[in-house]
Amino acid sequence: MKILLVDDSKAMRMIVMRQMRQIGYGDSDFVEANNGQEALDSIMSDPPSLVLSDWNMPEMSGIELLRALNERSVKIPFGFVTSEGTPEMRQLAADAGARFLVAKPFTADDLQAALGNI
Amino acid sequence: MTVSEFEVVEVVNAVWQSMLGMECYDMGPEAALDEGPFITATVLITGAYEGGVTLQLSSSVGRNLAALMFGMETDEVSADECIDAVGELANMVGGNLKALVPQPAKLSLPSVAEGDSYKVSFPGTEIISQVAVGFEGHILRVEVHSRTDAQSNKNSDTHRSVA
Repeated sequence: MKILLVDDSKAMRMIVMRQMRQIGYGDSDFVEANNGQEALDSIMSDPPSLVLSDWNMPEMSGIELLRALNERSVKIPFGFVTSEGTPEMRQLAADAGARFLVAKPFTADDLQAALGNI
Repeated sequence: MTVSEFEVVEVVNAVWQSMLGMECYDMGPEAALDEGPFITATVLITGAYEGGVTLQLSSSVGRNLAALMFGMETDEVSADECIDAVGELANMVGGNLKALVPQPAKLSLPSVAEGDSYKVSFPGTEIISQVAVGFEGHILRVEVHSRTDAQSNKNSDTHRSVA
């Protein structure tokens, strides 16, 4: 399974990757993107099975990335891992088709619970 | 509109526990930071609430935290990785404090400064919450700023000069 991690923080990408391995995704192939535009380019050239994305990033935000994928009719399971956990943000994410939003800070159990819906 | 010191410590503790496996506690507003140089990470909040959140700590402590986040030894952490990690901690603390202020509100990307002597200012703001958070014998200083009004000329330094 190929999983794309999108976050402008390398530290956060490392944490998400480590926790994903803890909850049973150790055999997955993790690829990384530093912002939404990098992620969009990566997805269009080699689509992953799952996208885990931050919200606030330079160049292209996570919600802009998701909307760009929708415009291109790209249907890949997409979840947010972000410090933006307000009800308004959750609604925006759901309206755009995100499968879940895990608010930072999070635990491996939080990720597992969210991914259980996919 | 206020964000209490208790709420700040609660938010920092949640971030530190989940991301670093550390317990945090309130050390009051005046507890001294560890030795310099220092690193300060700032996120701004705009919208129905205007202000910002700063995290300040010793650079050496910042490197320890970055090492935990990256899963590497402290002496392997580069300056950029330390800035990345402390900026992300500010992003998480700021994002969760943002949820406590009037909505809609937007969070900026973090800005990070590091050195022996510098001063970070938010012109036209006042400090509404200031707390020193203790963890494993170290200190993190957190300040929450709120804009007073658009016409105000009052300046509020996020912290003393760290010379």
